[in-house]
Amino acid sequence: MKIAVCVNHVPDTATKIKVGPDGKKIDTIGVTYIVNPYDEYAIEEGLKLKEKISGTVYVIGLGGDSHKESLKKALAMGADEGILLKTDQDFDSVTVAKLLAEEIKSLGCEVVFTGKQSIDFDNSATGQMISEFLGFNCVSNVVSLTIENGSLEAEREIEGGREVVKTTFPAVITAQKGINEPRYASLKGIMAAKKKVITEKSVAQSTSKTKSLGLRLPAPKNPGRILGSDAEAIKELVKLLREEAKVI
Amino acid sequence: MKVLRNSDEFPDYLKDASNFRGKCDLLLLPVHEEEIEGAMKLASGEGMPLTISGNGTGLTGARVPEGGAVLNLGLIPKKMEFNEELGIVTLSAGLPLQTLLQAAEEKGFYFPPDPTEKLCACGGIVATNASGAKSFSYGAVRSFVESLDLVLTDGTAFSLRRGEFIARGNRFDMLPFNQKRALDFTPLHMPAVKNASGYYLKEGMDLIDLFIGSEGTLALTKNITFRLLPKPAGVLSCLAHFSEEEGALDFIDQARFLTGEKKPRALEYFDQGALRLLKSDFPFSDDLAGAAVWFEFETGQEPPDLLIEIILSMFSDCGGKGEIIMAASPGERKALEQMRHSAAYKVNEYIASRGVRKLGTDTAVPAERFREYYIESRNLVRSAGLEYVIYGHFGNSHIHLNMLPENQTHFEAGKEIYSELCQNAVRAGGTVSAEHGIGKIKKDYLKMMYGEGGIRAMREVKKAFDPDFRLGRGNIFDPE
Ligand SMILES: Cc1cc2nc3c(=O)[nH]c(=O)nc-3n(C[C@H](O)[C@H](O)[C@H](O)COP(=O)(O)OP(=O)(O)OC[C@H]3O[C@@H](n4cnc5c(N)ncnc54)[C@H](O)[C@@H]3O)c2cc1C
Repeated sequence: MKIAVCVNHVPDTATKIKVGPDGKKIDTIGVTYIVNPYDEYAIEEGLKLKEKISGTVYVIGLGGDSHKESLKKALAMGADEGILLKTDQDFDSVTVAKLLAEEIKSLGCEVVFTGKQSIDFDNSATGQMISEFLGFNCVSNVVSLTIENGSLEAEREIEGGREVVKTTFPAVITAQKGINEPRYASLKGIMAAKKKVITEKSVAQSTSKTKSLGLRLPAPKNPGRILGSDAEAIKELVKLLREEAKVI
Repeated sequence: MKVLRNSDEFPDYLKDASNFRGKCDLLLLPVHEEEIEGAMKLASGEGMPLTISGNGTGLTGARVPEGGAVLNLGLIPKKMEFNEELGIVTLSAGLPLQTLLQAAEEKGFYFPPDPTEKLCACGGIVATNASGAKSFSYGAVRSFVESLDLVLTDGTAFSLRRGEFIARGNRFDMLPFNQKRALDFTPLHMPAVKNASGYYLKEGMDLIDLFIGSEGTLALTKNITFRLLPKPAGVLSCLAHFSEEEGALDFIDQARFLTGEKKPRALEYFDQGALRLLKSDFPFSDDLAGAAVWFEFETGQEPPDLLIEIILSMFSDCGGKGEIIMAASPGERKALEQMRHSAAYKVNEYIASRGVRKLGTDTAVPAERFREYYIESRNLVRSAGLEYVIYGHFGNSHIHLNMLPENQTHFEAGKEIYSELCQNAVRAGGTVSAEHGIGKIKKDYLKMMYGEGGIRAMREVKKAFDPDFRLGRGNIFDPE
């Protein structure tokens, strides 16, 4: 089976985000990038499926040259081939989904794993829109997946509980934390990854349907106050919680 | 300055992470740097011994008072000034190490000898000459101290820069706070291993080295200047499991002798007991393995192929189990580091929950004697029927064998063995404490190492700075 995993390259969660000079993009100087954490679950799920029923895992990224770093990590984890849809443009989710769907279609994949969202812009939409463009079934926010005889049984996380959903291939699954424990890349995997191919493809001329007007940082939080380190401080804390914060 | 006299209000200051407990009559918390000297004088004025407290992560009871006063720098506003051109940072001794590490990282620097525990105060790591995983390559805190601002027990303040006061043989012709006074000392036979036991006393030594590792017994450290290194472009951080512990020891032996660009900066060991303790929090670890090694190499952006090939070949020669896993993001690197910290943390938690004191070795022996020492120690504990876990900075031939006593009876049995393990380390030419220090709980073992003569040499030196034995009383050696 041909398995597609969509992988985004995002700022590390520990990054202190600054807005760049144009007011529309983040300032990337000094920012460390990582594989989108939800996509790691998607990669792991793809690898597990391959180990179970055999097949090829394609990892697909969309973005600039640096996105290859994340694809390389996926290859070191065990994915077979990387594809970078190369662009320096920033697209909205629907355009990203369309471009990814076209690639997945041309590869002939029957199942697609994505993270439930990218932690950069948090749109939580790409996976679902890919399924729409491809006409695949879709289960989002999946925390547990069993595949038996061509049928997929998934548990989704929903408000206050879980929903169990059954579907068939072809399908798009968007992965939520808890679905698996992503493996670390292995040293041998790193060596093997050096021999694996990352094919670069230019993307078709596209325009986004929505336009970002600007980025704004949240108002800075008031700095914390240290009241002391002894029993006295507790009295003071209770007093302030009551009189100043008015929360008790 | 805050002054508290009822110790019920500050129970935290009566213990440290070793669970050693003490008592105290007076807590002094200066709120400005200028108040420190006054605080010291206040304690001397009341004729009290004075214990300096860092952040209490110490494992030897060194900051725990046995009566008298305690002084802590925690309420003083912390300064931290980088001189990026010189690659140094000057900071308040009360600054938590974690704050330094983070700020240095943001500026493209790093401070290599960081101990596993990052919540300690910078004054604490100087006082114990702490060290960590990277000390395999870079040595302990000592090698990174450029200058200290110090205050004696009578309130005399002075600064000391590295290179400023060098002994002529066994004599300092003058002291920084009294140019008319000389200090003669008897050097110690310090072992040629990583060492944090007792004073540093060596012919031709730098006076600053006497204060580093003196466990709050000679002077209070007010400010520190540390040397920093530029952050490496990349770090290869990996965890390798082995079917048998012998395999892990073989791997470490081979890796220890890699040189130049292929020299590892850290070589850390976990035995099966430690892996079992860690499995639930670190699912990538394998608790069915006999042992594991966490190692780090400083590399360029990408680890060189040749290095990876060497590591893989050593791994297969040594009976590696499964695959060597590699941290591929800063988060994963932190997780491996966290795993090592967690081993120590979980042992301390176990000890505290059983209401006993820590019984963990901090011994190091010369590399060529290490394997023999490891096996002998493990067998001793095993044959006594005690539960234990082993981890440690094995690159430095430095082992934390932690016994896990269920109750006081086990503790007493463990204590006997502990003493034997220290004795064996000394016999092998090693040290009874490679990084935690002596504090109040290892004084007997220090005697094993240096004999009465050595202890006398240290006492003589102490008299020159603290004639009434007021500062850090009960640490390293007892007053006469
Ligand atoms: C989980 C865990 C892991 C650890 N791992 C390591 C490790 O890898 N390597 C290592 O070396 N240690 C390790 N330790 C021990 C501990 O973190 C170090 O000994 C640390 O240096 C103590 O710092 P502190 O500020 O907590 O000092 P405290 O425990 O408060 O005091 C320690 C000593 O320092 C003196 N002191 C503190 N501040 C000053 C000052 N300003 N002037 C003069 N004297 C002062 C005190 O008087 C006392 O003698 C570990 C501890 C824990 C709990």
